[in-house]
Amino acid sequence: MMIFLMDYFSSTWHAATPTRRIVILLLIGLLIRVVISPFITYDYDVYAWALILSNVDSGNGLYELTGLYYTPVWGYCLSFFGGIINAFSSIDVFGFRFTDLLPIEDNWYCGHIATLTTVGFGIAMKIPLIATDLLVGYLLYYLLRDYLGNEERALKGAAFWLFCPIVFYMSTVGTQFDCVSALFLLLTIILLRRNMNLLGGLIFALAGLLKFFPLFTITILIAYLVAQGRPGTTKQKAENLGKFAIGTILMTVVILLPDIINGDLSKSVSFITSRFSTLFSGGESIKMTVLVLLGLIVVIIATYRTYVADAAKTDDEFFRHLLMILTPTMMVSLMPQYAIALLPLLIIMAAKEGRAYSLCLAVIGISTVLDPLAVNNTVLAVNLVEWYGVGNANWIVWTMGRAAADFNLEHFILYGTLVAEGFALLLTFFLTIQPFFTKNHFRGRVKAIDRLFDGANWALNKIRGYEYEP
Amino acid sequence: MSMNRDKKLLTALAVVIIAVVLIGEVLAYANVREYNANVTYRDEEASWSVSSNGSSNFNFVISDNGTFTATDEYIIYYDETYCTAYDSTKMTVIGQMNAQEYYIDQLIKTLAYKGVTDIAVVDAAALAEKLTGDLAETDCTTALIVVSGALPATVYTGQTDDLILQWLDNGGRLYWSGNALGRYYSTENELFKVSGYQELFFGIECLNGEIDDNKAYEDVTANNYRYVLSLSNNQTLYGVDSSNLSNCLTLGYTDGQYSSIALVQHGNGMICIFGGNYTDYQRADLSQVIAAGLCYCSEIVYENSGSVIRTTVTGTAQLLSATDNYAGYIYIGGYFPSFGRTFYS
Repeated sequence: MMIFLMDYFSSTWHAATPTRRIVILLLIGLLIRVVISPFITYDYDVYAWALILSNVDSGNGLYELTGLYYTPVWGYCLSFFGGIINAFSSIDVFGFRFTDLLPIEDNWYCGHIATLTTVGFGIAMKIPLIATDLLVGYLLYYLLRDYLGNEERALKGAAFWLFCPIVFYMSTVGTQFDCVSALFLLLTIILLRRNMNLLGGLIFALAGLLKFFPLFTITILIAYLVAQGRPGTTKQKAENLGKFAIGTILMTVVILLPDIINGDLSKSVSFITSRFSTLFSGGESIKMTVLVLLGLIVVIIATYRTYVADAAKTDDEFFRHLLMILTPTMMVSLMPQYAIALLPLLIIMAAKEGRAYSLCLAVIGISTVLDPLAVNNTVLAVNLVEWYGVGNANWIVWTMGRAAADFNLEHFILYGTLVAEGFALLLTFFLTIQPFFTKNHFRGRVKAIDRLFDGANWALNKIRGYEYEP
Repeated sequence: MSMNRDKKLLTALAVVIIAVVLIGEVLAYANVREYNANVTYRDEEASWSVSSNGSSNFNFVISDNGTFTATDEYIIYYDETYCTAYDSTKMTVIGQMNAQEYYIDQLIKTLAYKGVTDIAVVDAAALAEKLTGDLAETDCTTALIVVSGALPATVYTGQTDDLILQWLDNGGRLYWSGNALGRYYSTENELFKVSGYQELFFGIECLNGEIDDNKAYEDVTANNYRYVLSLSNNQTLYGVDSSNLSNCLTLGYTDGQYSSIALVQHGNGMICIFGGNYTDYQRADLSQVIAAGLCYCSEIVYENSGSVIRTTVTGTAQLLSATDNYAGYIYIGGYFPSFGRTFYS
């Protein structure tokens, strides 16, 4: 039976046109998300979305009452979804507080809540995120097909994204919006490649104000717009840059305007400022200062190399340097969902350069999902227990208690996944800077340094499975 | 796809995304939600209605408050120059902005959308002046909310004839959270500990004065306020053990001895204790109990809940008597409230 089914799907796949193949991938991606989303849920974030919507509904906007700690773009998206719910749906109850779940709030990991959102509300919040997952999958296919001119690789790229465990988990289970961050950055890249620079600027501002990681790519984007290898006169390139700048500034002002008027600007950017103040506090500040200085050097070199890239290599250098910049920013704070913003770029590189990047992608995609699975454990089944009557809350409380008792095991898994993610990000970074090992100003001066570069090249080529030529 | 068509589709996609965000921005600040509620008491019936222009659920509860008159004025004590005795380090829910000033700011905004708007914030001197003024009235109907963990020395020094105790005897209503009531009083420079403070306020020792965090995992079952008011805070630290208290209403959650919320008669007035340290949940419960107009002798005589989806829902509640003292509280949103109104008979 199994063999018959596999044969059937294999023959269907091979007989299908490219358009049908991407549709098949998207449908499978949709199916597994639709099947899982009503039953398995991470309780905490979706609770926060319900809280924010009730704050808005009470007439207190996004920041007057406790709830939203992100920059306003996500609040606006939520508000739009809330508007749809209010105008067209019959979802009247956002959530309920279950007394039998109260002990989960006292777990060592404090991100659990006994006020569980309803299945209807959870699905309403997940639908836009699932749609975003599919959209990113399609855009990756579209971009890779155009960039690599290879249908198979483009389909692989889309599949990498659609079936990446952390991508699936964060939208379908976690109700976290990092896929939206990936969408905005990917769309910015596509728009700039198409010379649609005003729109590119508008979308980039949304990307930067949604979660701040894309902001670090701004110098690369600018260098790409005016790159020597791109067609067009200096005047045209200046116009392109001007349009991008106008788009970015305009959208930033429009997004932040209510907060500026209401005096809530500090609250609206607290997601950014709080993280920076945490990173730069106490003994961490020296480490962070050094890292920032090193990061600045990387940014300057990457920006310059994007600008001077040969005409044939402009896109190659653009993608490689975007990934080069984003990877270290993810390493500063290894939160599992953050990595999603760089996955499209990692997928592009994996589709183009093969095994080594694919390995990084696999490790990041799997290790980052093990992290929330280890931490959240059976609490992910709260919907099943409370709304569907499968099992009981005591079982969840008991297993969480056991997990707390096996604290060392849980932490071992947790730290193991963090180390794996860290190494994968580090390897990604080294892969992006590999051309530097081949050709740089220090080459041919000191033998020891040459040996070091050769050794790094050799190791990276071993992982790649071929001799890399920049 | 041709390049031209590509560009059109990409433009359409970008425009749709921008439209979603900008429409969301308008919806976030344009205050498009409309709610309404009304209760009319006539003979032994209460006719009620609730409406919403969105997809909502409502809860409606009528409490019989015996002879306890409704509060007509709320004051919140806040004096940044005076010492405080609260612990805001343990936040179980979202958020870390937990200073006293923020707590009060949030409480006022929450009470506002629940229809309680006559609120004044007073410092230590103004508090003493206000309470002294209330003493001159025969029937005080003012409520004082204190979240500083320590009363100021202008009204309390641990003596039986302190202004706050006289004010309570005269009908004042004290809503308290943040520490054990009466354990401390404060001046601008110092925090003073009081011995025998529980007897001053309750006549007996009944407070959970432990320092460690205490939680409750059971509902108070003597009444159904836990559910009809969507109460959330399950902390019992500083909470009340009502077993030896007369004229006391406990609600919310219980650990078997102490409850998360207790309303206790004191003279002609009332003390209302909210257990635990500052949390969003505690503040939510505080606003619910205030908005619902509850007192130590409240009894549920009618409760209803349901959907109100882009329509108006009406009903009639049968009451026990035409002359009783009722408080009807209608709110929308359950555990995620966005509107509330109270109607007294």
